[in-house]
Amino acid sequence: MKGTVLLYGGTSYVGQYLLRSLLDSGTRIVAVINNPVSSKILLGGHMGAVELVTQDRAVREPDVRAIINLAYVRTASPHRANRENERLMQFIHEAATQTGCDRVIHASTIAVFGYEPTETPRPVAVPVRPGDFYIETKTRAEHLLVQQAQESRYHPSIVRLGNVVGPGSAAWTAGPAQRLLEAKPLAVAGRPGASNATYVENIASYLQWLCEVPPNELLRFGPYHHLTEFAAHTWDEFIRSMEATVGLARVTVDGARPGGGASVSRAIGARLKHAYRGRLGGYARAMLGRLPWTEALDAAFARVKELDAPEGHMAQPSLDPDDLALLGLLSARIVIHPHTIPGWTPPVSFETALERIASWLQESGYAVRSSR
Amino acid sequence: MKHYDIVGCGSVVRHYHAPILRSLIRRQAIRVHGCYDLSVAAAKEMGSLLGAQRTGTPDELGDLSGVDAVLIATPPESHITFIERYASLGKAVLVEKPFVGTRAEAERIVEISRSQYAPVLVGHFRRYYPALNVARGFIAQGGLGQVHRVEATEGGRWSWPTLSRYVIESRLGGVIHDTGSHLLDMVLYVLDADTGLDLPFEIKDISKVPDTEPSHDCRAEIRLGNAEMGTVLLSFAVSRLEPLAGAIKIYGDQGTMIIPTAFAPAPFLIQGSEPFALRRPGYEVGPTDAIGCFVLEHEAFLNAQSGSPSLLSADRFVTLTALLESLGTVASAVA
Repeated sequence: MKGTVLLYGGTSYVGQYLLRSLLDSGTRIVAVINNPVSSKILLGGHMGAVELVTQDRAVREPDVRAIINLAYVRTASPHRANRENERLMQFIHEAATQTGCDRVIHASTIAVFGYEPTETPRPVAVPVRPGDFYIETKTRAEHLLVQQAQESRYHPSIVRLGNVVGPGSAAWTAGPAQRLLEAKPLAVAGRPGASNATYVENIASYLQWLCEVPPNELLRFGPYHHLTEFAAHTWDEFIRSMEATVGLARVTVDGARPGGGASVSRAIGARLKHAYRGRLGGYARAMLGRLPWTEALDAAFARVKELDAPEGHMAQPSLDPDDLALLGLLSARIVIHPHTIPGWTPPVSFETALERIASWLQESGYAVRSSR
Repeated sequence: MKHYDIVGCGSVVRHYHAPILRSLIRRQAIRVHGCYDLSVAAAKEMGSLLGAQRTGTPDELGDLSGVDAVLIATPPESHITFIERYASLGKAVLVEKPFVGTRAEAERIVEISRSQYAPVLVGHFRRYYPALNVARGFIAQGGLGQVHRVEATEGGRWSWPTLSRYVIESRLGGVIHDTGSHLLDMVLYVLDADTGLDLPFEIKDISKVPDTEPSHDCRAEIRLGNAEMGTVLLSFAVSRLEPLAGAIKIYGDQGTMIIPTAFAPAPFLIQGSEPFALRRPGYEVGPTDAIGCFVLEHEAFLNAQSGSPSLLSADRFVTLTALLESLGTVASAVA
């Protein structure tokens, strides 16, 4: 590919695949860095092939064909997050305007629709949902980019990535495999879960392809892209493949538990029991004995006994808030269909992706061998 | 009341040690005498937080007669200098991992510690992980039968926002001495192979990225033990470049045990097809997370100053140091 790609966030997980893909195509890459230590560790393998520069040099680069942003604010304390986010997007805007580049390709996430959307998301702007740091900063970054681009000559392409799977993906490959090893809950019974997944090499391919699409096509398509080429495949399919490689079965939790309804009823029953056993039990008995509707009370107590279900006496895997959040994602009902510019085909099929993930899990210590 | 010096006031002290030190100060168990760091600002900030009487650079330690003990949390290359300085005067030492750079240095410190009656402890707080201790007891009682193979892996894409360059410039700044020291220590401890000074080992195969230290990814096959005492084949991998399973898998004649490398209340035992958590009776008493293990580390340090033996005593880290030294020295190749 002719020209230079100016890359922000080259040290990210997707960044390493994109670098490889761009280098293979002979593209000149200039990676904009803000932490020389992280860059030395994570880009060390590409030293020499990739030029590392700071922002003040990035804006002076000639012949920039595209700016790709994979960076986002991750570690700022809450009171600094918005400022850091604005600073990052301002850097990208300055680079685009000062280099005269005609496109900014910005990696966002389908999480801007919330972790458990209730209706099928569309490729349009979404309002900021305060509350979750990641969702909020990602959504604000989209808004900032669109606002800045309106006053400029470059076109923004906001690529909302699905759940990124692939060899070395911390969240959606290593994470679930580690949960298999630690016998932590990884599925909700009866809910196979829409994966809304995208494979890391396919992301690299699409981002690279966007660098080469004619500007009028980008404009015609609009700013919002949804990269979820494996959306129709369920988490159940991914996890089944991981189970076969790791050699351990997933822990599945009862579908009622994440909602908590049964647990709440059981808790009320337990409170009543406790009240009767306690010091006030005698008063309670005396008071209730004077009431006229004894049968109704009998029925109420029978109901409490029903609620005191036998499984309540067995220890269950404890579900902390992180477990619950993950289980919510793994049992998602809404499929977020891909919305990509026609003409691009994912180079890696679902079957090949599973094979590569399995091979990586083997090499990375997740497989439990026979003890003999 | 014990009087502590703090040498090295970086992020590990700020995030992990300082809250516990402040608690010990409130309990009037300790008082902080001095805080020292190459960054005068960092020393002053920590000194202010801990109510230290003196602050300065490590060159300004001065007269140590009013000091009972020191916490050393400097970059690893300087550990030996500060340990010797304090221990040779009979002061108790708690040093962050990795202990020191070479086996010879480790043996020298053990000797100084003995001759000067100066307890020297190394901050391998993972030794207090409940899962590790349950596994250790189970293996010692023969629950897995003869152990013949161990796979120990831990990794994650580097995300520590440090600006300190020692992780990319120091020969002790790579992943082997960082994550690797924790991981190998867990292996030696769980196999009860940490107490002798002379555990034989042989590095059968090794690959590193980059090839020289500090490396950021290392995979090795190591034979622990010898024909006389029995051998265990250790497959070891640590990485800053990609996630690896955070687990120690121990294969024995009678089953497999999985110990998470992150804090966990129990290991998992596989005898047949299903893993189950191997909980110790009364497991609910004890640390509930890694911070709790740091608390135990500081309690152990206080107790060691009263003469109690400790899991963290320097003499239990000689084999570990020798192993790390070898892994750091050998270049990528079949050894």
